[in-house]
Amino acid sequence: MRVLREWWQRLRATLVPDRGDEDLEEELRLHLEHVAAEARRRGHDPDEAVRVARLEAGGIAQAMEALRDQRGLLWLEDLGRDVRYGLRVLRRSPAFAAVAILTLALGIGANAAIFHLIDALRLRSLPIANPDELVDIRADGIDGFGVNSGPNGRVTYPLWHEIRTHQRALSGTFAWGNAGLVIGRGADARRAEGLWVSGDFFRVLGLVPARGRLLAPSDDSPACDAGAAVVSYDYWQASLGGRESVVGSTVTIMNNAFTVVGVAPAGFSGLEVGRSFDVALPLCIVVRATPDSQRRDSWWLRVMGRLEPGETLAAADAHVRSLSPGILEATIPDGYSADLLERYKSLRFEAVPAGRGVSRLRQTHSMSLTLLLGLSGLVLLITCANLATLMLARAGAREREIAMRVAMGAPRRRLVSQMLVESLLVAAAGAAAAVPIAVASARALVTFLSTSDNPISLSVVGDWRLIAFVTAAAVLTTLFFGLVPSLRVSLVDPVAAMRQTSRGLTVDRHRARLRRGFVAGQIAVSLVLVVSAALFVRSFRNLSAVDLGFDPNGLIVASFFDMGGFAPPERRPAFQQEVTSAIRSTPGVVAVAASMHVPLDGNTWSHFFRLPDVAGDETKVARFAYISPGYFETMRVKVLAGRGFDEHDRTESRRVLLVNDAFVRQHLGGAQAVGSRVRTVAESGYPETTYEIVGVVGSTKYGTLRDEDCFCDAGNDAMPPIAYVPIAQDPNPLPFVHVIARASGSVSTVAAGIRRRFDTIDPGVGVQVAELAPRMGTLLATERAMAWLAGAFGVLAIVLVVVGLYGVIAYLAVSRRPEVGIRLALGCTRAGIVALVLLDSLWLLAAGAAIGLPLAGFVMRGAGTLLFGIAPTDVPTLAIATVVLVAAGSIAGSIPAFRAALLPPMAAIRDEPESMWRTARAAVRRAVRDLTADEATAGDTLASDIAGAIHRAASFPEAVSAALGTLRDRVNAHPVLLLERIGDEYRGSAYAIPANGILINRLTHYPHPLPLTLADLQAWRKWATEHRPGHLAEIEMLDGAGVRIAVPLRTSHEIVGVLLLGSPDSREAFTAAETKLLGGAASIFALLIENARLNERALEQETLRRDLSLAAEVQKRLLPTELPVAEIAEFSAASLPARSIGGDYYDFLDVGGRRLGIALADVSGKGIAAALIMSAVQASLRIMAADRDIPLPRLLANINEFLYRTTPGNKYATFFYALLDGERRQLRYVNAGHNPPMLVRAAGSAAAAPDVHELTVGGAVVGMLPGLTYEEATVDLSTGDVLLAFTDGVTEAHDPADAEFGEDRLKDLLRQVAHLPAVGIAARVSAALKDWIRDAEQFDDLTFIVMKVR
Amino acid sequence: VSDRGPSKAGVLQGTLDLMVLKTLDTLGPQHGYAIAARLEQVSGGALQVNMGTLYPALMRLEQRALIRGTWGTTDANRKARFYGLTAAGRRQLAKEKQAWEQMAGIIQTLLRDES
Repeated sequence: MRVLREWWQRLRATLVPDRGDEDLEEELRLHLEHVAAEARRRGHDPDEAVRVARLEAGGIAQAMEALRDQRGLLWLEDLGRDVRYGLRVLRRSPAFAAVAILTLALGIGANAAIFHLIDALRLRSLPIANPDELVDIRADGIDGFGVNSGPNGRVTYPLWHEIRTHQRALSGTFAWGNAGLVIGRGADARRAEGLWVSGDFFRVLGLVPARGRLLAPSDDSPACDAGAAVVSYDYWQASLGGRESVVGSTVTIMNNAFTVVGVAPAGFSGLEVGRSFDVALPLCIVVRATPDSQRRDSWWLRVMGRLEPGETLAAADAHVRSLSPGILEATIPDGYSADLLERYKSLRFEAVPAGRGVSRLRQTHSMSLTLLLGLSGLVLLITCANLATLMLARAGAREREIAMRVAMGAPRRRLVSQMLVESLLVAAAGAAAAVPIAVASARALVTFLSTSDNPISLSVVGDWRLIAFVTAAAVLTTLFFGLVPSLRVSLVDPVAAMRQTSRGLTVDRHRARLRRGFVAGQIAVSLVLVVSAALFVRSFRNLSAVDLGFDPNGLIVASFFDMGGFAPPERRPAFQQEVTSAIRSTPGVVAVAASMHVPLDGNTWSHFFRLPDVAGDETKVARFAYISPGYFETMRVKVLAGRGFDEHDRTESRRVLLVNDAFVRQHLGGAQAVGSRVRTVAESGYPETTYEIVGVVGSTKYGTLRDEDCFCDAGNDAMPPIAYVPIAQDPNPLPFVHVIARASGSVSTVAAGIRRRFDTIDPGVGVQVAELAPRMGTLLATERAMAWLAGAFGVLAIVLVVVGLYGVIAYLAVSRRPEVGIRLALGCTRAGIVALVLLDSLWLLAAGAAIGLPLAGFVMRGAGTLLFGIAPTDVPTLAIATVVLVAAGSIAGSIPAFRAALLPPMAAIRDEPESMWRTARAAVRRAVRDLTADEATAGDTLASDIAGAIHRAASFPEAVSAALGTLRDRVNAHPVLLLERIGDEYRGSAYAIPANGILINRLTHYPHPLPLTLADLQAWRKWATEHRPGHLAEIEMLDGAGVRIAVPLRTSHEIVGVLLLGSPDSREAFTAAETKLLGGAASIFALLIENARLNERALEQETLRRDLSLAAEVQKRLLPTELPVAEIAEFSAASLPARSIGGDYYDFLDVGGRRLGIALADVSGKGIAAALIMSAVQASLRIMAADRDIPLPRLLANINEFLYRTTPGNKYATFFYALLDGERRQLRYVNAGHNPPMLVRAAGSAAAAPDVHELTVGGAVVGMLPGLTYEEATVDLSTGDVLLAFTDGVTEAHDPADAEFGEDRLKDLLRQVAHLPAVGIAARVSAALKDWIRDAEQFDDLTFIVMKVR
Repeated sequence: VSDRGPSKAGVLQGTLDLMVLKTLDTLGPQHGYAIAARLEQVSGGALQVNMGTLYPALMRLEQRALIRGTWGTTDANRKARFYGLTAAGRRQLAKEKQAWEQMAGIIQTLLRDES
């Protein structure tokens, strides 16, 4: 809590704006005035007073200088420095920076791209005057009342008239409709998007022309003789070359001449988002040309208006609603049944805001895009989690550096802001890269979704909203992935951070937990993405594989449209036959049929009907298609019963009908279909007609691939019921026809042939020829895009999870290496280790899946309607997704697991203490480098010296003494003593002071190094003599040792030790700079001591101790328990390990053939690591020595290679190996860097002292360098010769006065005892050593072997 | 890093913050000159605080959110910037005061023993 509060205060302080120079100067001036006033009161005259004041209080300029320093100090400089520091840090780890920036760029880019599309589609206002005032007048439920021209067919022409006449709530109304136009003539003809607009269209929208003028009410007059057209800005630029002369030019549209009167403003592409217009024409043109357009059942217009100023939408809405009954009553279409008319009259118009335009894309893609935004948001979330774990890992690796900086006085605020600035730099770089990615992907997505039938034009150029989104995303992600690690830094306790150096024994469980949490969350979120990917891919595959009921391959559709040249209705059947025959005779066409309907083009044609023979009076509904004979042959649909159509089914003949299988099942209940009657319900233009079913055909899809309302109980992937009527019996031939042809051979060649055939057709007829199969593909554009994107997100999620999981498991595995090593040493199998490490990742995966599966169910439930033929909670899909993710995660987790298991045990344990030193040393060096780069101080160079000194240390005591030596050299003081707290005392090598003594008491309350002058000590002595005689001894000691300053070594809760220094450099006192230096050094020493203690404490941990003692047991068994028996010699051996586990090893190997191998080795270092290397030496020796013919140099070279490969470079062993040949009475040996064993030759005469030879032939130590070679030597033995092989512990044994036993002493001893039996010699040597060492500490193992030749 | 030995200025630097805090605690919100005058008065004229020392100290304390400054008018109806202790400042003062007293007690004991 306290930390939080402090944080809050600092944050608040940063929010206080800096005071300006003037403000500061004002304050200073006032101060001076006060001082001057005071001076005047003292009697100075006014001029004098000002001078006095300036003298007393100092000048304004100087004070301002100081104030500016103080002001800039905190924020500006810090920020600049943080940015520089951040850049340097990132430069130092380019791989991290690249990965972080790239993943962020992709994550943010994907989100921004989809946001950009949604923004373009849904959020942007139209580029018109006051878009908020624009409303759309429309009614729901208009389907079923005749012909509907598409999404913008919301109102009939008569209705538009009624609304315009009667409404009072809008200041202006207009109507518009889409027009598919053909511009140009003959070979130059091009299709173009047109708008039919009423006269007020441009005026009400408040648009200003880019060139010329816009259409006005006069262009839309009843006479309709103006022939004016307005082109869009884009069309002008792209198709008319942007010529200024465009105004007044003539264009041919639908075979008529129009004058271009102006160009619409740039940016205005119509009122439908995603569909831009090329040419706007007055409404009157189409009304005059096609009488059908005025029909009361022809819905082809949209009516919009602008709210009266001050009018609310609600009021306008109410007004329009109240008008509805009257308007509808006046426009009742004829020919409808009573109940349908009732429905018509109950329609209600409403006013809906239209300031953002209308959009069919909005409906079709809105949900997909929202879901995609959600999915890409999840990807970004995973990205952030990944980055956060990365940052955490980095923070962890840098924690020691940070601890050192904290210990040296760097304010935590600085450290946190540094970390945050670093994150921010990464995020900024990622965001910068994200913008082009976003724009490019948004464009790609639009291209992906756009089809030739459904061209999408959205403006995706990147704007301030995109930039704002990206910026916000960058800031949020920074907070997400940067804040946690940086806040953790602020909580770093220097001592606790250093504690982590003893890794493996005290793993940082907390941070590991945090990272595991991140990864589990990541797995959960990824599962959602993988599930969605699987669902969408399967959905798409379902759709692609859906049975159409007909064969689309090889089909060509030629569509003929009325362009004003069409024959009158009574001539239309003849026209159909003409074009059909023309196409039939085209080479390559094998079958052909005319139809009013093209399968799967999205349009539907339904009729209500009754089944008088089966269902009585019940009204039913089905799809209808008007087709010519040959249709089923062309489509390759089977006639299942009865007959197909033929030339005899004519206008004047009996009305006949074919139904499909689905129709029979749905409406006839499987009853006998052929012969039943179907009676249609009357509609405008379609009087009631009774048809007889003459055949049943196979079921096919009708209008769309999916979600087609089949008016049936089956699912949405079922075939719809369809009724087919001969085209000749169509009661109301419409001004268009499609001719479907089946081509053999090259479809495109045949299509081209058909096209050529109609080159010369009447210019009043529009022809479009297209292959059907490619169009099928475009039907699935959305689904394909969803499958691709969801799939890509899913793959991305898996990759991110693999990376994240690998990181965490690898981290955990590394931190568990010593444990793994011990387990291996104690006989745990490799498989067991793999399982152990793998279990970690499996737990995470299980936890992630447990959260992720319900989450996926929840997210995908909302997306159910986007799926086809698969439920959002499809169990196999969920299972597959889970299995894929878990498998990928397990593979990621098993890499570190196997790596851990394959580690040789001694390599795993090898660097138990050293690794701590390496990391600590590296941290110190790094910290020093950073500090010196920023602000070089004496303290830093001292720190770097100390870091250099402890670099060579192999243990804590050595490190401490090295550090002390550095300090001594630096301050040139004598003595320099380090007293470490042990129980109630602070104890050093020679001195000790009580913990409750006078010095420690003083230090407890004094935060800095405490100088102890002679006078101080004198005063203490005086005081103690009177009051506390118990303290006298301590004071005498301090005085006697010549201590001049005492530096407390503090950790957060106690004084762990004291540095006592004598006079510096023959001066009496320390300077302030030196004192400060000592203060800085104190924190380093405190860390060292704390570390040493923690290490000891860790070693004492119960489990480890058990492991160690077990390892010691293993160790003991490695040494031979019995001495060998040989004819030629007798043996004795002794080993006194320094600790419970030593690095010395000896062995006797019976290699057969009266030969005996004698081995003695000393592994560098001590403790469990040394022991395990020793076991490796033993194992390799036993295996290799079994090959009795192997030359000794070869044997040694092999052992060297083995050890070199399996142990770290700084580990080695000295090794002596000899082969005693009983037959030849010879000793062959190799000495690999070992202390030369001594061979005492039996004396030729009793009087002469025996010779002592040293066995030196061999080579270098084993395990240090690869490819070493060795030599062997042979010695002939004679009776009475004595061989003494020993480890350096023997000759280097120290007595309490620190004197070495030495080789000479050993040789002398050997000469004296050579006459004894082997056991006797060994006993005498042991006794001599014990006598030498007495109560001094034994630093090294003592091991020796004695052989006496019989 | 200063190479100079302990000087009057050095002593002042270390304790000025504490003195300012204490002054504001005793007298309530004060402007810079009043603080300087108070220090001079309390020290019997021994302590003359230069503007170049005092105002950076005030700014430092304000940056650390221990005091907060606002513009106001003095009793003599003159414009001045008044500094008042914040809650954090009060806590900081209590902390430093305690440390100082402990220290002073030790020194006092020490000096008394010596005499």
